Amino acid sequence: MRTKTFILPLLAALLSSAIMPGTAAATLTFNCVEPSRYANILPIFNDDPNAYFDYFKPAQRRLPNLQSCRALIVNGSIGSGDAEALLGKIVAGQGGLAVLYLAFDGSNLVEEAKMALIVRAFALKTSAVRGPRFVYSPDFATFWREPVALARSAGNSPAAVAPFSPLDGGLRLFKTRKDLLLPVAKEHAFCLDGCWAVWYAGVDRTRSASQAPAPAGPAPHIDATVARRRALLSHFIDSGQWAAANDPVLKRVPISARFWTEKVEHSLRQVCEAELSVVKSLESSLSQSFDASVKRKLDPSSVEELTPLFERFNRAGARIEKCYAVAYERGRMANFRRQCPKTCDASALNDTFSKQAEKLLQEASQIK
Amino acid sequence: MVRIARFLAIVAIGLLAATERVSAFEVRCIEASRYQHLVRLFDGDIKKFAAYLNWPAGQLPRPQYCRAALIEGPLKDRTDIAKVMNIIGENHGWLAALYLRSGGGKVFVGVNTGVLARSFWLKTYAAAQRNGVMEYQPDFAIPPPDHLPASESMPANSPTAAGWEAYRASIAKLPPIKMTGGEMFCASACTQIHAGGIDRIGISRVHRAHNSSNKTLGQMDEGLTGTDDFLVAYYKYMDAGPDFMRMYLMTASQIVTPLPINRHSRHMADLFITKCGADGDQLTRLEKQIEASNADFKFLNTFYGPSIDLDRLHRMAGHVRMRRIAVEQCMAAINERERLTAFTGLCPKGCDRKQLDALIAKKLVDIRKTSH
Repeated sequence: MRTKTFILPLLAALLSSAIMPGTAAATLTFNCVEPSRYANILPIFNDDPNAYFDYFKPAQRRLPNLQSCRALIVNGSIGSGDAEALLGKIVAGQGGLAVLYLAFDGSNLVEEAKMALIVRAFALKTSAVRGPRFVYSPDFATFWREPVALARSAGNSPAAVAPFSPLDGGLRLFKTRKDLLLPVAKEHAFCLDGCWAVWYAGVDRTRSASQAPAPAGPAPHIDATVARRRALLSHFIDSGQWAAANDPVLKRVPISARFWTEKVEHSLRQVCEAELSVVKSLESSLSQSFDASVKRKLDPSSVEELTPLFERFNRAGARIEKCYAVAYERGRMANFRRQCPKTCDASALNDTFSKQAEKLLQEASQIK
Repeated sequence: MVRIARFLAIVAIGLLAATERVSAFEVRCIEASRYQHLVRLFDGDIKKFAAYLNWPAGQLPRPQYCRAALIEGPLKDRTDIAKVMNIIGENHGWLAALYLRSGGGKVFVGVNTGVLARSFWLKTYAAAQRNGVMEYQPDFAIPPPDHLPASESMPANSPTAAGWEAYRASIAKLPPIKMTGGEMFCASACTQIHAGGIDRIGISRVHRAHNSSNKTLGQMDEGLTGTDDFLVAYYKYMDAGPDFMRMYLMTASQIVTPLPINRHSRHMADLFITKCGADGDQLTRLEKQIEASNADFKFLNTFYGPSIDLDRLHRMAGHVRMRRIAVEQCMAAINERERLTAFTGLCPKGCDRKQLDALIAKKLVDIRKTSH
């Protein structure tokens, strides 16, 4: 009986590989980053839906499914069917999925192109994992350090200052979770090869600090043609234009990239223009007052006077962060609705992305 | 059974070794603080060093003298206090700082050593570590900023970047003081030594007094209330600050509350502001605030979206550092005079342990009187 249960799947696997020569089975796993489940995110907002709506300003006052995940960790080695699996996760998340943490390797241009198209079409953020110790932190807000009291030394407690961001209290609590350090399979703990093409498609792309040691063993064979096509595809998906065959930009993409595309940066600057102008004005005021204080040799009174300016300046920074969070959130939800106007036809979407990927690969192969 | 016992013994020994706990009270010179190394900050020129700290004419430390000592391990009995007296005496007034790494112990050792530190005008540091190694920073100077603001120049005789480089090179081969786990902080009775410092740096961990001796509950309660009253009077005498005293009384004896202690007593802070034109502690906090803003905006720029250019914040940090360099020099020079004078007064022909014991005892009696 035991032998039978072992042999049957083996035969099935052998048979399938005989039917589809040259294609590997889907080998990536898409696991929920547990602390990113909305039920776990909501305490950052003091469990108050109104605080959540006030922060993200969604078009409708509706919380995402609290059991759905805001972030997935993509782990393994890329193979055929992985892009479709990703699409399935996005559709199931109903727009709640915002970030992919990428810790995979391998090379499969068709799947890479398709995954990259999906990532960009749904306006997801990407983060390249570079080591086995991956610590999750929310993508929409950061903890702003507590204001430092600048009162002169008099032995008195400085007056309590309200936190810079309304989420600071919640984030402080969130930081105490015991499950923020996520296990990443050691054999696939780095974003390598085709992973960078998917990473490059993110609307906001970050990377974790590189952790030594880098993957051991012989360096993988990098096919120059594959690398070139990957660069061409990545550049096209990012900019909407094919690079010239000798364009030096091809040597930089996809690995050495800015965190945002010019388009995204332009859009963020436009949407958050008011917040940006305020922070610049406050920085200027702070700078002027600081210069005046320097003229007074930074005497205690003049330093004390800087306290409210630092507070206002940092508070303005937290407002920019919030504005960006809203912009990303709205952009992602709008893209989701564009792809899934009323309901999501995952099968039709999959076909569309497959065709787009094939077409792009075809076009890329023409650029010599 | 024997096997299990042997296994447990091995595990216990392993754990003790791994945390490098110091089982006995020890006082030792911090090698990096020997004057032969510190003089490198001043291009090897002791005259520059003397000018920087305004040493009295003709008074110079020997190269092997220590400027800082490390106190570590549990505070147990009177011999511990004698060890601190010894190192003060051996360095003839040139010992300026005590680094503290102790989880505490007997209150009487803590308060005696605290009064000793105050009498000899010593600075106290709650030892801090980086990458498992204790960090020693010369107590009288701070390094220049990475980028010197265009309008600023280094104050006369201040250690330059090259001086700091030479000093670091000089101490690079010294064995590091490892601080992995265990008593890597100053807690409980150790905070009484920390509070005794004339200039107090670092975080102390406080809690209310506790007593494990077998008495009735009533006697124990009465005894501990008396200890609390005395320690509040002690911290008040040392002017640790109202926050410190409040947290001492609020923290149960089974836990500790990490707390920054006021760097100077209020009157010393006032004096330094008058003499040096700025508040050194306040400038340290200002620099911290600029660094915090810088780091937060850098994070915003990196992970969320573009915000501001950080150049002006960098420039501000540079200005504050330069001002701090001058103010720290001014405060250090004032402290230096006082310390050398205090040593001459207390140990005119070498340090007499009995006399010092009597002096401390008298101070403690005075403090106890104020607690009633």
